[in-house]
Amino acid sequence: MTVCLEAAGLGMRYRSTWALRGCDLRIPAGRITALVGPNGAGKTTLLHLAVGLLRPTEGSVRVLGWIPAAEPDLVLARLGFVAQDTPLYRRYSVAETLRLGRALNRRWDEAAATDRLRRLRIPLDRRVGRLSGGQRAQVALALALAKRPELLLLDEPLASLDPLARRQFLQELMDAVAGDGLAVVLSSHLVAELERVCDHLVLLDGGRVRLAGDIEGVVAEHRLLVGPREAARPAGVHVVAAEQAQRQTTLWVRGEPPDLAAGWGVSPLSLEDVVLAYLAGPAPGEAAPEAAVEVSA
Amino acid sequence: MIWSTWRQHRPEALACLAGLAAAAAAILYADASVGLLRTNTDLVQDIRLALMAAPLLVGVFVGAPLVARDLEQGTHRLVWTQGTTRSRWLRVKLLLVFSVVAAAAALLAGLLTAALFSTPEHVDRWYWFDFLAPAFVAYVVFALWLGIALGAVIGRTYPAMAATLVLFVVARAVVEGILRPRYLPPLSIRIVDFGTIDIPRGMSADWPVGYAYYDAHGHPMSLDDILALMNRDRVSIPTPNLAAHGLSGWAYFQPDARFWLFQGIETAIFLGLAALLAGLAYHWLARRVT
Repeated sequence: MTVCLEAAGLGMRYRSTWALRGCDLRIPAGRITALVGPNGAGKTTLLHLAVGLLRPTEGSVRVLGWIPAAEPDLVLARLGFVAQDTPLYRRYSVAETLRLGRALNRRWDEAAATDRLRRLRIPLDRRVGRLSGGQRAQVALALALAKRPELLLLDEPLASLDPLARRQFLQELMDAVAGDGLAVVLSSHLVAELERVCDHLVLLDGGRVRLAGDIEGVVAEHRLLVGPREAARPAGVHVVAAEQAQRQTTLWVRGEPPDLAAGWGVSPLSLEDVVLAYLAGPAPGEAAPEAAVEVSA
Repeated sequence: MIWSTWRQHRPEALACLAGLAAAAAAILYADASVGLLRTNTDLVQDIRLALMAAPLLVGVFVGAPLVARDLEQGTHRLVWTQGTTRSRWLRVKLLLVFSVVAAAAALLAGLLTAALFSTPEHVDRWYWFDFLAPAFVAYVVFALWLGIALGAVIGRTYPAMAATLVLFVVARAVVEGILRPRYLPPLSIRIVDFGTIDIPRGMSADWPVGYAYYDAHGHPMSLDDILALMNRDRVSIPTPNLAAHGLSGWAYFQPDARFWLFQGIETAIFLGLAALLAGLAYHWLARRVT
């Protein structure tokens, strides 16, 4: 597996609280990775460490083989980043925004950016502040893609968009990625939206990686078991989360139970179910420390 | 980079240019019409007021928002993650703004200095100390870097502007009121006649920095004590002789010959502070926790 982003023991502390701690992570090149987790899980911190906006308190992060805080020019020239809330200068016209990108980047594909925005019917002479949220996100994406990056990092690009704009944004992203071999990391707290476009998953919670792997593998590895309340729990599986109702026990498990006692039923889980199960289970640090789960396809 | 700096700070740049043009026009007009030495005219007083405010305006409206606005609106996450790295972005932008502002200040102060010293009449240089070439430029440069550094550290535009205003006024007041009269120990002359203390003989080009009065036993006396004494003795107020009342008085002054030395010292103080602030701003921004 070629890796485009690798973290080892990565930790970031703001004053007294750790936003990220003991984070070990390998994100494959050429894939679309969903970086999911609840608010405050450390997604933005991880991305800011990856683009060199932050320096790690401990551990290290390598992006495209380099340490961003030490060699920013080697990393930033090959990387596109769209920060949370898609920051742009609101008083600039769209054309001026592109000109800013051209001024600040050696590698720059102006034609691709203008073509993309024309196709989306975003007027180049309009001020950014007068665009809709969806159009602003498209301008930010066009700006990041015009660098012809090898890795594109998007921090909650969908958060402030309406459903239609979300779909258009993801469509535009898919078109750009297709055939380019471009790796994308997309952070979001909305899992369902990402399942269609992403093929790799990293689940962050409380500043640690809870689950990482190819989405197909992750979904195939996990299942839901429902059985009578008094029945012994099935052996040979790892219980991610459990729920006791009056008459039955529901278990979210990883692995395939070798043989199930009578009365137990098995059903598949969606990606969202898996993620929610991990978030509902004991958070890292609360229960016995538990190694991050790595699922291979 | 030049274009992006210009595009981002166009309003400030145009305001500075307009201010520079207006002040230069006023100086040239005053010089040609009433003469800059007619310091009792409204025009000359207005010019002095504008020049007094200029460094403050530069610090508050150019320096403080320069980085603070990007940090506040989150656009630093846009510009610091482009192919041009953060350190280059900072270097070019800050140096560019600094050069333009310093050049404008030098032009204005140079113009005033040239106009003042081109008259054949005697000029009270100390009266114009704050507006002449090296010191005035140093104030502007200091104000700019004070604004930039506070903007970088505070990260919010309006609080940074307010802090710049307060700290600049404090710094200028402390240097002018407390340090400047003491750059070198003042010279002193004996005051003979009480009424002449405002302009002791031979001091018209010097800078009076203080007076001291003593009674016959050498105890210091305040001005009020002396006035009370004169009242009691029913002395006619114009030019009573101090010695005739058993008093002595001294006037302390910085001689005219020290003028350019003092300009140099004051310039060095403010440029030194500006260099420290520039280092702080650069270091803070280069390693800043966002």
